Amino acid sequence: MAGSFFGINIASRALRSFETALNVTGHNLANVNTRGYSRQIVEFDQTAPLTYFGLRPFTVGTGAFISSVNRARDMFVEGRIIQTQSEQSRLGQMLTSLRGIEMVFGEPSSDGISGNLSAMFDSWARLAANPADDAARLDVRSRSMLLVGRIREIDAQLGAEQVRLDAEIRATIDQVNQLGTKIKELNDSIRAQRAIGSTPNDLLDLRDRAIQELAAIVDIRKQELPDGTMTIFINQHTLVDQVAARPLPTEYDAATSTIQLPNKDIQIKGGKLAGLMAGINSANNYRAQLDTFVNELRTAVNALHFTGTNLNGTTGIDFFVGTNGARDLEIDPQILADIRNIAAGASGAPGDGGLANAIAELRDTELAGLGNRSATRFFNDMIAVLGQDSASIAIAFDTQLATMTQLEAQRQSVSGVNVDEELANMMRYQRSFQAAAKILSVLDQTTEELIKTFGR
Amino acid sequence: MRISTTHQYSQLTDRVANLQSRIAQLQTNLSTGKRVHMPSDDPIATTGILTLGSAKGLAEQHRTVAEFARGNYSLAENAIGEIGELLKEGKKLALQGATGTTDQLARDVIATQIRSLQERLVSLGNSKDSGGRYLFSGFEVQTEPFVKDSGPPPTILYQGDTNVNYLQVGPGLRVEGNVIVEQQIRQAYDALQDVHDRLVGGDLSGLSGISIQLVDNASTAINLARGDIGAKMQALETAASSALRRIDEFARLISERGDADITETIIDLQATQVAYEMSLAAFAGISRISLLDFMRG
Repeated sequence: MAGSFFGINIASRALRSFETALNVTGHNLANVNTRGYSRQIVEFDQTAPLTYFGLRPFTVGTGAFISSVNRARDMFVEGRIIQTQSEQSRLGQMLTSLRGIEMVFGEPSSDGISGNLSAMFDSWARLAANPADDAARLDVRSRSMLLVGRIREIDAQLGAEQVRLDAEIRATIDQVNQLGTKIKELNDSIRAQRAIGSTPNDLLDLRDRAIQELAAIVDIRKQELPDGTMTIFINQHTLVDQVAARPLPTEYDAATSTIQLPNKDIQIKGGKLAGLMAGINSANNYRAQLDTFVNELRTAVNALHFTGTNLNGTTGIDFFVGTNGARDLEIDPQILADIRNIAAGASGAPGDGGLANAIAELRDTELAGLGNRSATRFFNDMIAVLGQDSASIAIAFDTQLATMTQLEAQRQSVSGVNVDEELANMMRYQRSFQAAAKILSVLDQTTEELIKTFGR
Repeated sequence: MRISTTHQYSQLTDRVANLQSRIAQLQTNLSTGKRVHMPSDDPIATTGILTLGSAKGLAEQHRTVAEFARGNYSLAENAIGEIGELLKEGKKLALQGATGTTDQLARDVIATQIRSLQERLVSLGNSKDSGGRYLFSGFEVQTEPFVKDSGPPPTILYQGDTNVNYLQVGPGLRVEGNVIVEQQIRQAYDALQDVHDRLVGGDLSGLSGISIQLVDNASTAINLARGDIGAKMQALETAASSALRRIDEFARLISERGDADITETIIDLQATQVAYEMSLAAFAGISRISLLDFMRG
């Protein structure tokens, strides 16, 4: 027969179990707003029954215990989230960069390069019509100065964007390394807990969250080893394994989207890091195109202006100076000093506007260096391509965002905490606790009865 | 599907945030009247706006130049017209001097009148544009083109050149921006000089013969020049109005691509605002209900 306190044991174990279950519910409720938290589920199990050998052998249950506290998690969805996260971050970052470049150019508007270029050609045409007019001459100079100013400003902003992106790339690589170290430390703790047979749900959540953060930065592959260690690969590089975290160097090549280790290059295909490198490429590319545009425009205007004779009778003066794209574009200092140094004609006669007319016609003149397009057309095409790039990235990003939202919903549907559900559980465990306490109390009464009756 | 509390809230906040940003965009569209603020808002429209903007700029340039040139031609036409009148006057005076009833004293007076016509001719030849630059001196717009030379024989000197400033006033359309009338003015001056000399010399047959012929020839030349100027003015007028038509058409096309359709935007804004209100109402409604409200103690 079972001992007198057999029932008390059952009841007290039940009490402890329900108390634990209430704690888990509390933990779930407390983490209702925690990012990456997976709700925990208490699994009750019966304890092993006792077998009695009476007239016939029979078994008596010995109560319940908590067999495990599990994380509610859909590993398939988690895997897809990691991939989608990488792609979404890459596209998001590219979009930010391209939108930034669009804002720098500030088109379509009258005060962008396109509008200022048009205004400059207009001023040359007016000078052509009225070459002896000082106001027209002054207009050519001020319109050209505005154009130069706008080009220089845009170039400087693109340059600043390159510098900013470079710093951000380096900081992001640091972040990868920090997350690598964090995952390595969590690996160690998880392995130790696993070794003693426990399931460290919260550590697993923390590690999953770190992995997702990492996936947002760079495209990774992960592989879980039987001892609970998560190995993380960034393409050909092992960032974290059982032994150590292997940080990435900050040397990179944006053009090939690689991080350069002494013996090999690691391809970065996804995540914010890939987006940043693509962004720096875009900034480089549009800055280079701006340089080409400026060089060709400068050469074309100068080629004409150089041959002209100005009102001071001098010839062989360039209109624009500088040799190196947009960054050193300037109006010739002689023209800045005296508008009479602007040559409107070849002859130098005050009524000769032939050259000014030829410069005005450059608006539509195809230039070999710009792929047989006019300066205007080249610039407009560049902005059109920028817009197309940005818009198509925006569409791809929206698609990824929608996928991500859906995946997040799926994950939340499995792992997320529902307050009402937890409250219901709470009531359930509370009632169960009350019932177990009642049993304890009844058993106490019966024991007391025994003691009262026979204890004298 | 099981809905987590976080998801319930984040779904609603996402939706509200999306609607808010849509409302902000529509309000911007309304306040600026534009639909395309950045190339990526509508890349195809942006290409159109920029290309058409350049084309419009060119058309505006053509119009400005054509109107400026037309203004100068108009001044030139007036001057040439006056020269025509002046030659008619010269011819009248020559005929008057050629009649036998006019005595030498009267002829001398007429010769003085011819002299003043010559002065007037030189002054018309030195006409200036609105900016004070000479109309008939080729490229040398700051040099007085015609000066008298007392001779002998008295004539006028041309100090300008014969260069023509060509202007672009339309696609593939070039016009001469200035008028060269050196020959015609010299011819008129010399004809008047001939009249003057014969008046002073009392050469009646010469006056009625050669002099009148010379004045008539000069008149014809001036009229031809005037006709030429008229034709060019008309061409410029056509160029300017065709440029204006192009400007209007380009402006219309740009507006079609880049401007917001106000009616459509307002309707869209209202619909979005309704959706926004509904979302907020749903948000408030859902967050009001909880099992907590039904639990005792």
